[in-house]
Amino acid sequence: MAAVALLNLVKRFGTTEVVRNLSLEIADAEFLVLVGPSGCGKSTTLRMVAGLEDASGGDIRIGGRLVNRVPPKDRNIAMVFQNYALYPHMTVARNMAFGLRAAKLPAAEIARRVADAAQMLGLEALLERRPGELSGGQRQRVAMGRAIVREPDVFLFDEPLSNLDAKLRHSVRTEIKKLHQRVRTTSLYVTHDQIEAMTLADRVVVMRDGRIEQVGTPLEVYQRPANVFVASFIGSPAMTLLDGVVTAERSVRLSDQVSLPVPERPALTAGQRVMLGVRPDDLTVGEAVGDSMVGFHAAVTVVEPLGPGTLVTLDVGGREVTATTDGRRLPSVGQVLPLRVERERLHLFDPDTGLAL
Amino acid sequence: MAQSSGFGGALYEGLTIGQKRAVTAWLFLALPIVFYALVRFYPTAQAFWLSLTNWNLLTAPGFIGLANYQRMMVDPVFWQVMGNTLLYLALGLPLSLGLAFLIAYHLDRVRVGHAVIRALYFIPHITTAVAIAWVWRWFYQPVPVGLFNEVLTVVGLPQQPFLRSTTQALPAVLVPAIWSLLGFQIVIFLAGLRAIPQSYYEAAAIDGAGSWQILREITLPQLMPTLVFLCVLTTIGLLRIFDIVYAMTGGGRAAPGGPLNSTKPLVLYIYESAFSSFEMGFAAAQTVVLFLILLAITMIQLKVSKK
Repeated sequence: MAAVALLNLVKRFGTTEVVRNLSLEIADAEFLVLVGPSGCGKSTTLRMVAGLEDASGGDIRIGGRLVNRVPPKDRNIAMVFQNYALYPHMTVARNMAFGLRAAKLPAAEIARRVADAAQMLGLEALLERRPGELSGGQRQRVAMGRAIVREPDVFLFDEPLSNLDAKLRHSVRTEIKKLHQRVRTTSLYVTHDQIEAMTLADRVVVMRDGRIEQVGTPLEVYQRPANVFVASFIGSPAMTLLDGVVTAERSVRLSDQVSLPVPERPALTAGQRVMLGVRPDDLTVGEAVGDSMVGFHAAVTVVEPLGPGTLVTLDVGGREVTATTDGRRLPSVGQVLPLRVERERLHLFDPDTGLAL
Repeated sequence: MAQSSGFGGALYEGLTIGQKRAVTAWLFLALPIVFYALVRFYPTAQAFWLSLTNWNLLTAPGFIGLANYQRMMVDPVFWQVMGNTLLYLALGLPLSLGLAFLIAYHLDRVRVGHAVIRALYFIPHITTAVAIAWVWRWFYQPVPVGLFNEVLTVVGLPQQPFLRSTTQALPAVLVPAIWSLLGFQIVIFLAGLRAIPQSYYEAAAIDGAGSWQILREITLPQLMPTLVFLCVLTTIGLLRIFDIVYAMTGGGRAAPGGPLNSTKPLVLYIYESAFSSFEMGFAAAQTVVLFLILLAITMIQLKVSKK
């Protein structure tokens, strides 16, 4: 096990800079998830840690050792690939033992480690099969098995669930989490799926255009997004963002009819333009009660039942907001509903810089 | 096609979608099937019949049973050309495939000038065998004309007879034959190598596999279908070797396939039996034997590839 540290990491392909001055520390035994839209540099960062790409600048340290020029095999890492990279002509057992054979371990030791990993992942019955005879989820487990048997310092995961269907993705995600709780190996996990990031991570790193937008625990990035990008990227359905103007009464006027009192922020001045954000989960149907809640009325334009809850899209001065209501009674289109939200759950952003106020 | 008028139209309209598709497919297939039946399958079948006759082009073929085959069994030239043919195969197949793999394996890693180098290797494949043969004939000449003997004398080694020796001639003919095979084989090997997912190599690099383990456990097994495909094609090509031998050893006073039949392959002997001696029946009997050998080898190789 080991900590991983990235300092001012840069990656250029020709003149294109895909990773820009990225600095990040991953603690020993931590599960860190890099998340961002495609092209944000998250996979490139992972591949630089693996040693599959040369860093154009900056330092990569694993367990305190500078590894920029160390070949992948000497970094004591294991990687799970998006397509699993299982060798189709080898049995599951031979696939899992591949790295151990390369390391010239004694046959008895190889057999013991493969058996242990197979038992841990429930692969005992599949050891003599070939990858072609396995389901997607089973292949995924074999790929993890191949990583575990090496007993590496760091696990690297490159979008390991994106080839699975939604149902399987959930169960394998749970398995990965269980696995990490058991072996506690430092893990760096790359995904574009914010739900994977939220559910798996000790800490989430949100990336865009080769830069880190925010680092924090899943709840930190969800509840206190540092900027508009993080606010809209994390959370599903996405946060509603509305332009407004700060009034003299410490409210934000969204339309001629709707003005919402907003949380205390020292930076706010009357007449200032702001961007108001509210998560659909926080905005619910019902009359506001007590001082901590703010409320307004709006007309329903779209109703989307999900089962446990229902998403309701409403019209606020020509702009759309999304709210949630319980799944038992469906509102009808055109109906005017009362909406309420805890004032402290409202997010304010500077519309020019995108930063949270 | 789908006219709704007339009896045929009504008949077509009455077909299911699957049957309509089949009708369209067979309409497209009809022309090539007729063509192949006329120019390929009919002559092939005819050859089996002719091998049982004494046809000499002038008189009508007369049935003589298995006499042509009996003659073949006791014909020393037939056994010599059969030996030559198998020698072409036994030397040419491993040498050409081995070389082609070696070149493709390394060319796959070359980024700079990859396309140019690949094109250079491919050129012999699109060059006519006669041109290649005559250039190599020139290489094999004695000094002061021949390149190889020139080089040998410069480094102080004795001149070699090459095409004029009964022992050196066959390998000397085989070298340009292999060279002209390489281009195609390299391109196919390269395609096979490129089809191996990069992540296999990345996973292996992280797992710490050496280049030998990667070659043995990943590259070669992944390349198996390519290898079998090339084996079949190269085997068929070498068993049918003709043009390069004819052009390198014939011409002037020399009989092609010489000296003393030492380079003569089966197809050349068939050609001579048919068009110099006008023994069509005997030639046809030899083609039947060649056909059976090709069939057997191809079946074996395809069976191996299924595993």
